[in-house]
Order: sequence, then C-alpha cells, then structure tokens
Amino acid sequence: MNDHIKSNHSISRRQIISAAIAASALSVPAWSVARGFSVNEMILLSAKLTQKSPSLFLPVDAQKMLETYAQRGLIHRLQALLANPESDLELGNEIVASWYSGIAQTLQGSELITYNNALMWRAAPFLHTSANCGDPTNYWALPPPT
Amino acid sequence: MENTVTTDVVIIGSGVSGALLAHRLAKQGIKVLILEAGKSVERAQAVNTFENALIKVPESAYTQAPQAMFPRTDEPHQWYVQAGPDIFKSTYLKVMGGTTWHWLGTAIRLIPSDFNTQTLFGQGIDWPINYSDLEPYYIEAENELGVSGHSMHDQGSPRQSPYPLPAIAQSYCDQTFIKELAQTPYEVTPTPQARNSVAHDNRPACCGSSSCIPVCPIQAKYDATVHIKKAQAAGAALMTESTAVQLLVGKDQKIEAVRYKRWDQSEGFIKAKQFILACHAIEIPRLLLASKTSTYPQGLSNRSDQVGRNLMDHPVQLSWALSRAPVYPYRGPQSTSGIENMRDGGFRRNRAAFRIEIGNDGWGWPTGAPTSTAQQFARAGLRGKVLDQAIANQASRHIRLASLMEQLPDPENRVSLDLKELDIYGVPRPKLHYRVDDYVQKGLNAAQTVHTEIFGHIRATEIQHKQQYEGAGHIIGTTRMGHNEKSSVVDANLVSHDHTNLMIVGSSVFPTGGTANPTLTIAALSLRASDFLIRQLRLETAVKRVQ
Repeated sequence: MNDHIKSNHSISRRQIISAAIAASALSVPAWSVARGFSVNEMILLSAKLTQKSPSLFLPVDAQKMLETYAQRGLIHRLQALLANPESDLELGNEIVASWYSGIAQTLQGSELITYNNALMWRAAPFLHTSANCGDPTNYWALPPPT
Repeated sequence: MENTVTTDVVIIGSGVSGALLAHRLAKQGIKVLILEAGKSVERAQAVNTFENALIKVPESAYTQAPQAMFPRTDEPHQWYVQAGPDIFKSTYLKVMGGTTWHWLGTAIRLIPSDFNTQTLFGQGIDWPINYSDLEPYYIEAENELGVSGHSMHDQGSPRQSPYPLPAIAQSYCDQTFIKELAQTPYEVTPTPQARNSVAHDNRPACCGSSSCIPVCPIQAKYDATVHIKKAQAAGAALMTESTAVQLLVGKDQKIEAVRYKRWDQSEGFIKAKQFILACHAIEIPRLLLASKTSTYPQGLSNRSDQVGRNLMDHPVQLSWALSRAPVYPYRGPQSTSGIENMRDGGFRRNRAAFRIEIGNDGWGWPTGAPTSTAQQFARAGLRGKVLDQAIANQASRHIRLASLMEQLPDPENRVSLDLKELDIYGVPRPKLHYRVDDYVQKGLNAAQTVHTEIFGHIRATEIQHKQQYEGAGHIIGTTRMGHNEKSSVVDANLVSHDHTNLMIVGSSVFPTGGTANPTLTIAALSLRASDFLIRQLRLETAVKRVQ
C-alpha cells in the first residue's frame, strides 16, 4: 500500500495522462465514423477552437465526440466550422465546453466523453482530477506552488 | 428447513456497526456469520466506475443490481417510494462495507445535551443513556476507526483520552475562515476525521484525492471493510450476495432463523442463538415489517408500533460564495474544519441546532463545479488562455458552507412497506413519508442568516443559498431505543423489547438526530452493545454448565 502512495506521489496522474496522450498522438488512426468528417479533422477543429495543441486530444475521445455530432446531424456544421472557426459561434462554444468539461450532448441527453482528460483539469495548476492522489499528506494546508 | 446453516451469532449487514460487532465477537471465539446483501467492492474498479460516470453523486462509484438495490441521490424515486409531502434525500449502499464506502469520514461526538433535549429544551425525547455512558465507547470507537484530531479542541464533548492520530491539517481555505472569523462568535476548529493523518492500521496516510465521497482511492479514510477483514481473520464467516428477506420467530418469541435469498434466487436459512440487525435505518424496519405473521401482524419487534417511525436526517442548508482572494479548493479531504459552537443553547427550544461544515470542495456540491464553471465560461465564448485564466480565477475562490440541522423525531415521518412495489425477491419496497417541520425550517433560515454573516466577515461576494434543504446522507431513527417498551423498539442495550435474542445496531436506534454526524456514535453504540452481548453469551454458557 505504501508503494502505491509512493508511486502516486513520484509520478503524478497528470504526468501519466500526458504521456499517454503524447504516445497516442503519434499514431492517430485515420478512421472516420461520420461521412465527410474524420477523427483527425475533429482533433484539428478542436485544437483550433480551444487554442490547444492537437496532442491533447486523444483519438478515442475525439471519435466519441464526433459520434455525438454525427448523431445530431451536425456534420455539415463541423465542416463549415473547420473551414472558418468563426463561422458558427454557438457550435464552436459548445465544442469548447465539451472538451473542457468532458461532457458532450446527444439526442438522448448528456454523455461523458472523458473525465481525466477534460481540459478543465489543465486550466489551473491547483486543480487535479478527483479520485486521484493530489500530493503528500497535508499539502492542502498550503497554497499551490507557483 | 432445508439448506440451513447454524451459527452462534448472525449479523445482517456489513457496515460499520455490523463490522465492529463481528470483530469484537469473533475475537472472543464466538461463532459469527455476517450476511451481506451486496457484493464486495474492488477499490480500483470503484474509482474507474466513478470516473466513467456522467453524473457524479455519492453512489456513482458503485453499480446497482436488481438483487441489491440501493437509492441514488440523483434519482430519489427509483428505490424509495416517496409518499411525501417532502422528499427524503439521503441514501445508503448495499455493498460489503456498507455506506462507509462513501461517507465523508467526519467523526464527531454528540454533545452531552444531545442526549437530553426533552428535559433541557422540551423538544424531542431523551435518550435512555447519557453522554457519560457512551464516553468510554467513544474513545474505543476513535481508536478502532483511527480518528485524527486535535485533542485540545473537545468541541463541547468532554474527552478523557486524546485522539489516536495527529490532526489532519486544516486546509488553506479553512485558514481564511480562521483568520477572518477570529474576532467573531464563530470558532473554526479542525474536524476530527476517521482518515489517516499518518500511516496507520496497514493503511496509508491521506493523499488528498478530494473524493472521500464517493470513494477514497487508497483507503486512507476508514471504511467498514477494515473490520470485516479483521473479523474474518478472527474466524467470522462472511456471506455476500445474500439478502435477508424474513426473520422467523420460534414459540418462545425468540428469533429462530433468518431466511435469505442469494443473487441466483436460491434460498437458505441461518439458525443462530443471537440475531443482530445491522443493515441501516431503512432496511432494518423494512425487514422487521416484512417478517409479519398472523401472530405478529404489525411485523416483528413492533408491539410499540414504533418500527419504521421517527425517520430523521440532518437536513442541510447549503450556501456558497466567492472569496476575496484565492483559497484553492478542490484539494484535500472534502472538509477539514467546522464551526461547532452553534450546536447548543436555549434557542433549541424554538429551532433546530446545527453544526457548520466548511467545504474544501468549492462549489462541487451545489453546482457541480469545476465542471459547471468550465462549461459556463466556454459557452460565454472564452477561449485559450483567457478561458483557462477565467476558470482558475473563479474556481480558486469557490467557498461553501453546509449547516446540518438536528431533526426531531416525528412518528409520521416513517418507513413502511409499499405492497404494490416489490423487489426482485418479492419483498415490498420501502415507502417513505417525510416532512421537514417548522422546527427544522427555522433552523435552515437561521443558518442562512449565519452563513450570510460569515461570508460578510470574510468579505465574500456572489453569496447564494440553496432554497431547498439537501440530505446529509444521515438516515436516523426508525427503531428507536428507550426504556419504555410501549414507545420504543429496543432497550438501552439495543436488545429488542419483544425478542430477547434480537439486537438492532446503527443509527436507527437513535431517539433523536443529535448535532453530530452519526457514524462515530453508531460505532460507539455498537461497541457498547458488543460488550453487553459478550457478557450475556458468557452468562448463558455459564448457566448451561451449571445445569
């Protein structure tokens, strides 16, 4: 059990996730779930809209995200948005909100795309994914390191 | 009875009360069998289930099954049949280890006046025991659960012994409250917690995962699997995925056997000398009522007609605001401090007393932040670094207070059976009549006023109050203890007035809700009951030898 703690403290969950994202980004598959819009294009669009590196978006998450828009019949709006990221503010904002929260909309309601890879956890150094170790005991008594 | 096993003591339920009893009895060489309706939980799987859940509520780390249904916070009508007029919002789990899987870990004692509210304030009912009766067992409970605390702060509950573990550090957020409230009546003190501040009992120290509710990923927070495992090591047997569906009474009014169903619907019986109900304050009355016969038409242990009555919670006033400077929440245990000096006074004649919990979980409880914060700013059109900064700037200042109201026993607030709605085993689902009365409502209103004042002292902005009470997750009452067999279900030793070999443990025996989170008192009462039962069983053995 103590080894578990040690490993959590020496290699943070965020570092592990970052490594996984980096590794997966090297081998982005070219599959497509939606006619006329590929997973690669979804990643490219997401990176443009969020102003983040494409390497932060896992293909598996992008695939799930794309499926929700395909289900809602919004592929043509994704295409237009990719061509001009300013063309559809409402959809652009929704895509950004989905990547930050890890939650997308479907015809049936909300759907979790990712929890640990949601961009909100990267918005501030003091935030960490719940249910994963933060730092050594009592770290919460101090402000986060700057 | 086919398919029958025999033991000395059968304990129905593997939560904190059952686990502690099982361990104490098994250590004495008593043959114990624990019957648990749910499955064992694999901790890493629970974490994974939580992460993959869309809705993050206390139960979202655990998988429901028709064979072991439990209520969910986000679906209050799914398992409970809510008969109103208000919604009962607190829940429990049916898994090995019980609801301690998703408790916060707060381990506060009741204060002495909590035991005598009728005498002192003309409200509620007096307990058949006093604080001094329970104090030695509070010490034992703190040792068993591994409570971290500051012994210099007794928080109104006199102590004869220090806490077994050093205190968990108060959070950076707490320190804002401590500093700004220093010259006010509001005393911010470190909350005693059954959470390891240092490695203890083969469990690690807390690493601040901020997920005490719903699951501690490393078991730094105590849960009842600790004592289930110790009980098994001492010789106790555990049967999971086995739901007690009926208690059978012999001719001498003693419980003779429990009939149970396995998940595959096969059936078995357990005969024992002693039966202990430890399956929490909804399932205990449900089982007693469902065990009715022509001889016991009101259900078992129910000559008083008190089984299922006096259902209580600690209705919560939730308030939240933005601090002036960053306090960096969403880190550490979800609460490390509270304000405990509002729990007693003459005002208890007129309104509910409450303790105030200071959260380290920002606006997570009231709004689902930081998820909701990120969504809000993204939908407003912010992007890139501007969006990140907006989230960081706001989320770092999220603060919240939760005041937990003492609720009085009301016989009309009750668990009964819905004969039209049956579970997979054919047992009626629990029907809940529940009303938050004026006494609690006045307490909720007072808490709003106090919260506003506290936020004012720390110069917080954007103050918001939840307009409806929340559930505290504290299910109390329903088989209360008392001296009078006409108005209570069990005596002061937690033995049924009607069946001498039936004990009931857990918060269902509380005559009133008190002003503390209930788990430590549950544990203390269980340890006290185990002492009594061990003496009784020894006495019976000695008598038989003489005969």
